[in-house]
Amino acid sequence: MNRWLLAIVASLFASTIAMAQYAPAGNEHPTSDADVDAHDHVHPFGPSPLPPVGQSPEQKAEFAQAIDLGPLRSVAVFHDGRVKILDTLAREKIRTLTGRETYEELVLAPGAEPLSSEVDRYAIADPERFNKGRFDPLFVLLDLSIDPAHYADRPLIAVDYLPVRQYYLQGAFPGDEARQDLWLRMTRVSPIMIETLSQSIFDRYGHLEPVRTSIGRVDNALRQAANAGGTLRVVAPPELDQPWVHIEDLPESHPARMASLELGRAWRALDAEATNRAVATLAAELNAINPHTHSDTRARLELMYNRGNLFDLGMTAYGLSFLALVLAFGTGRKWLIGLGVGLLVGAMILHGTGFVLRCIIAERFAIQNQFESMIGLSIFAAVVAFGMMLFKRQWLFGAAAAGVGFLVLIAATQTAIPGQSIGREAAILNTSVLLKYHVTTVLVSYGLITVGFICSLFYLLVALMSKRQEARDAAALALNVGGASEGAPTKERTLARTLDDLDKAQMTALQLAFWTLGVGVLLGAWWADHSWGRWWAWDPKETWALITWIVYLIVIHVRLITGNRKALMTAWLSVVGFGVMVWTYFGVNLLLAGLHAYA
Amino acid sequence: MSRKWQQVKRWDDEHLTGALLPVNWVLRLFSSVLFGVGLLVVVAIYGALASLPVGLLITGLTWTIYGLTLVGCMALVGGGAMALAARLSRSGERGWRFFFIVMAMIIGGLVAIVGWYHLAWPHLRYDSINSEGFRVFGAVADEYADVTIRRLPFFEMTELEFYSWWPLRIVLVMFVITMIVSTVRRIAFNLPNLGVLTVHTGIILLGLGSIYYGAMKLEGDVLLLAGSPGRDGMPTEGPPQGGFYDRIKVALWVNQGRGWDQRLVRGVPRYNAYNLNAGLGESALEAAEVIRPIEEGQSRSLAVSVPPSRSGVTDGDIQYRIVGYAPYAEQQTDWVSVPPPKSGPANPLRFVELYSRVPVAGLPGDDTRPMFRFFFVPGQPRLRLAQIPMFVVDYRMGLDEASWREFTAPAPAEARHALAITMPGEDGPTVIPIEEGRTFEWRGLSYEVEQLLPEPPFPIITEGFENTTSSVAIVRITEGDEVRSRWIYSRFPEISQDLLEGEQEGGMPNRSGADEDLVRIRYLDLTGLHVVIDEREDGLARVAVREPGNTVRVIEDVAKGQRFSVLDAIDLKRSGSWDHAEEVKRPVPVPEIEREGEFIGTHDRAMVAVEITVPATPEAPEYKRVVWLEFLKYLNIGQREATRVELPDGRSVRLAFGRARRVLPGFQVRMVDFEMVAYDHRGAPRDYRSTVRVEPIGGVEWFQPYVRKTQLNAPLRAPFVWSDERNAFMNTLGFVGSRLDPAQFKFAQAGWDAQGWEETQVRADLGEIPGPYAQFTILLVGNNPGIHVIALGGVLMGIGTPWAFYIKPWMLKRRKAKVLAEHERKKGSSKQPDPIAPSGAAQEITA
Repeated sequence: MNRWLLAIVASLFASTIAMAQYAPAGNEHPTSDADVDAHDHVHPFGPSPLPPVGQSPEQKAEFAQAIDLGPLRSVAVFHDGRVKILDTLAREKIRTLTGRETYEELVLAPGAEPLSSEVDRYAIADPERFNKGRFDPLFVLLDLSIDPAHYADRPLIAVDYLPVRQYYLQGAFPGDEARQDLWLRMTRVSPIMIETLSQSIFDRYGHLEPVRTSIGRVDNALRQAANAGGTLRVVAPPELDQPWVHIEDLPESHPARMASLELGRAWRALDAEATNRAVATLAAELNAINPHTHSDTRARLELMYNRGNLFDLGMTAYGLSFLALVLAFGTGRKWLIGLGVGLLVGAMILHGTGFVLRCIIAERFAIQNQFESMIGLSIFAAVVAFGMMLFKRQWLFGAAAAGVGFLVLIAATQTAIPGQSIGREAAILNTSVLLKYHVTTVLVSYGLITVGFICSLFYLLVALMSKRQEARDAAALALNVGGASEGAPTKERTLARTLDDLDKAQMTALQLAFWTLGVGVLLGAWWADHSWGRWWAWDPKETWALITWIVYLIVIHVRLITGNRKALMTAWLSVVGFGVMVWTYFGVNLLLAGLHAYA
Repeated sequence: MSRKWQQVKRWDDEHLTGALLPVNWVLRLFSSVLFGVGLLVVVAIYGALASLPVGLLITGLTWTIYGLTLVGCMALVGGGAMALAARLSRSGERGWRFFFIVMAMIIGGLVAIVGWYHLAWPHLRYDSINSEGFRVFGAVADEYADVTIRRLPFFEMTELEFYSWWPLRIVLVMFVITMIVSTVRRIAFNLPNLGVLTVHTGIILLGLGSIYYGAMKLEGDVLLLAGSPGRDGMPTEGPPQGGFYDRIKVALWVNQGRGWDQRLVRGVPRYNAYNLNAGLGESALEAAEVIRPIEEGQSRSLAVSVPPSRSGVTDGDIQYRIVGYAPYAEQQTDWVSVPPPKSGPANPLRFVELYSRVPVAGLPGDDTRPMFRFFFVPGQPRLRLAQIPMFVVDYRMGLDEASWREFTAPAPAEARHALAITMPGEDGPTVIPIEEGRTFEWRGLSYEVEQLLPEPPFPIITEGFENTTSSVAIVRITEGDEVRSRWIYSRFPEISQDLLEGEQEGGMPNRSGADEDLVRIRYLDLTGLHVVIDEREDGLARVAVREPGNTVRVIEDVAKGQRFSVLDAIDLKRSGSWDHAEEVKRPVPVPEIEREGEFIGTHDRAMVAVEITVPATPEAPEYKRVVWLEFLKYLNIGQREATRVELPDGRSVRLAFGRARRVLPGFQVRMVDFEMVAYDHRGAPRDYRSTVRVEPIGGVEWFQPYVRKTQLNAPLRAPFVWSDERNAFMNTLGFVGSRLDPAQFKFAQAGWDAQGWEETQVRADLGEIPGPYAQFTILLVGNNPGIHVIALGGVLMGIGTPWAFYIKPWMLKRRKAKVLAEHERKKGSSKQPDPIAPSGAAQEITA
């Protein structure tokens, strides 16, 4: 495509930034991203030249390999209401734009025949000719500011709703199914497609809620891509009550301003050596501006947090621990217990370190959005279940702890759970100490419900298979490795004994869950009385927390009237209770409007 | 089954017989754990139904079926894999068999998930765009996607109202009774049972406290305004507020010049439309197809009576009734056909249809059906014109001849702008083409065309011409030494003005109506097709069509219903007429997808139709009229205003639909200051703090006025506050009393003037004022009756539970061990008890 046209479209989409700004009420999260950082015509690295530089993805990939952006990674930047580092900003931006951790583009494999036209790049999937080039988020963020035209016709913006993605591609490549299919699998569309097709798609399908939502997200991503330079508020003010500004706001003679212009020039020329020099100078100059207003230590910790992927590692360790302890339950291998417990301890250390780092970076107790509450919930639950394992000498609690850690972390890190970016907390949360106790207690209870659920699953599995020889064998072995070794076990008696132990395990978890949930709800009521003027408002979250509590109240009382089937009934109700809890935790937040907008 | 319960049942069976048998049954029912559990299940289901939209419940059914297919696949494949693994490893060692079976289950389950996702899910998943896939009751799910049961027309309740409704109250009362009865009859009053007794007592207290709380609770909010700016530019203390507006209850406010009369209204809907055409009759907007006929809520009637005045500040003979409700609407001005007044001039309304044989403005050409339908109210300047690009229709009735001659005066073909100048004493105008900057002399006056503007540089504010626009020529006229600028509006020549040199007192420009004794000028904007229809008293009309190229064609005696050509392919037709039309405000529903969730159910965007009835008297027949009122969140504050209604007997009434206002008991508050505390570097707000003055009213100084802050999570409690001026005993006494007193209120930060703060921050940065400020702050106001009873119940539940769960078993275990030891000692046996099957003695203790 004509690069002039691309440049014009790029400049068009760079000029569509909304300036609307809404002050959040105390009950809302202060997230605003593109809107807050909207700043028209910011060119921190000098204005984009016309015609554009016209670099190919291969040149970009080679250049990205040759430069060292390390010094810039920990440079402080003010974004979304807090001071963070450029590395974090870049990761957040690229995740918002592409829906992934990194930006990917098809790059010609070494030795492959060069393209006759750039149009052919996305014509057909050809794994022998192309590699998936993965680009560093910081590189892409800077490149979006320096050479935005490059991305105008690239697969940059993720479209999560499949039908909408199909509409864009059918409009962009009418009749060309091969090309549509290739783009469809990339899950992204280009800024040009969005600019030219969004209105017609909206006009035709805007009456459908998912389409409206999807186009809204795409539009927001497009604004953020267009505003990449505008987000770089990297010049620290002299005082804490003054705003950060852009490099462009510095005098032209300022060394940082000169270094940024030089960086832009060298970048466009693909001069890696000069780029590295400019990067180092720029980082040094920016760090020297009012350094008392931002913490160098916190910047280093944030970089460590970003690079560590502690939650991913923890999730893997939890999964392996769970497997080992479950196998230990059935096989009786003591080395599996050792392995499982060791992995569990390792997972908890990784998980806990990630949580603590996040608290330090966020400058608060990091349990105040969906992602953070899941991270918190799983570490609290794992610690409590680990403690129960040590106290009761039942390795099954260890398996439950590992299961909770694995299930919750995989949901938190591998799905689009909101709140992965570290942000400021809503004012009403910031000013309350009660909140910490309320949320923590409720999260502990949710974690314990999950522990109880896993124990109940074990119970049901053993109970339902109790007629099978394998279950009896496993039960006998479980008794041996479970720590309770009183008496000489026979197969029938040890099966009953195992079921009894499992019932005790589920009841231990559920009773504790019942109590902590009750106390958590009451603490919430106390807090609501302060904050909203009414201790109980029948908000959907409150209602469903009460329903969850009622389920466990029923569990306790049903045991009084169900005789020798009480354990089985408890296990089934535990499964029901877990489902209700999951709905309370996720469903209510995502599908029902209410006062717990931040939960 | 506890021993106490066995004894109680035995006693019941022995004593409650014969006629007392029903008592036995009732006691047995309310002692039943199963019954209690059933009531809990009912509460849970009630809560779920209240909070889940009907559409979601139905969609849940579809998703359940999806889930069952997945679970079925997993059970089939995973179970099959397990069975296969079990069979294959039959001869293997036990541990390895388990390993194989578990791995087979995991792998089989994963295979099932992947297979289901690729093979079944694409066919099952419902695609709302293509309407493909599987779902049950889809149409109902779509229709009620966001509608909870409480929002349906029969209910129309807020969450609080729905949960306070009698069915749930009955269930809760029965539950409390069950708890009391079963606690007394089943649970032994001993130390181990202290925990469960405490928990049950806590729940009972919590329930009773909630009943008192619900009965006495008042809550709402108050908007406190800042005062006028002081010398430093910062606002001074604002006006006092001695009341607040209720959160839920609404009122019709009536004012007949003797103060506002609040009439509390019950039964006003919240979520659904009722009778949206109430009082509207034949609508000009609908007839002209400006809006579609409103069908929403047409099938629902409404008749909510408004209670008579209690205050006596309004006339008792005037009755009010709410007969229509629009939950989310925009107010629009419409004209409706009504009988002409018996005295005073009528206000006729006319319709004109446009037919086109060629496409116009994106609409297809069709000679048989009107493309546009215009309505005109010739007596209203802004409604005597219809304008679409390059085309103006001007409908007049009884136009004076001078104006007619000006409209029809020929102009040079190439001219785009011209002035029609008539000197005093002349019969007709002289048309002079003009352009910006042109100067000329005519009959002793010098003219200079200063500006030709398609729209006036300032909005037209002349009464009756508001919200109109017109091209305007600014012409400098010199007569000897006297110079004036005449602003001549092409569409509205009657508001042309002369601006003379110098200023009036107060610095205003020296302007007046155009001096037509000097010269009468009309500005002819010749840039498009201009049609003037002048209807005469006999009903016929003459039409002047000024075509492009400035050919003026006059068509005489155009009758009603007659089509006439204005261009080759375009006809107009005088299609309809009303003898008298009246301007009304009406609701136009906002489409569902444009409604903001936060306003749904709050009345904030609602309108109500109020029927006013003045009963018949010997002098006059009964009078009825319906007016639509917008919701006023705060009376007398904001852009929305009360609606004035003139009654035929000469009285006038101002009406407003708003929230009920509660009076603060003997004190008032006023805003002293407001502060928004942001995160560092002016990030997001981290706190809001209002400083308010609390002072007594009513002429009795029953407490010393004081100034306190209220901020997020730290509300102000007033009127009693801990004061250093009192001794500790009096403070403590007052503190305890205030906690029980329903007249003690909490003021919590709820809203603020974000825009004003932002704007003044800019001024502060420029050094114009010392700092940013807000023009208003909004505080939640509420009392807290019985909250400490509820809190006590909560505390008892909190401390009783661990006793029941942990201390009681420990105590029983100890006692059991003791009894067992005693039992074994007596029997002299050394045999270990079976851990699974407790001995008879142990069973007895456990029970």
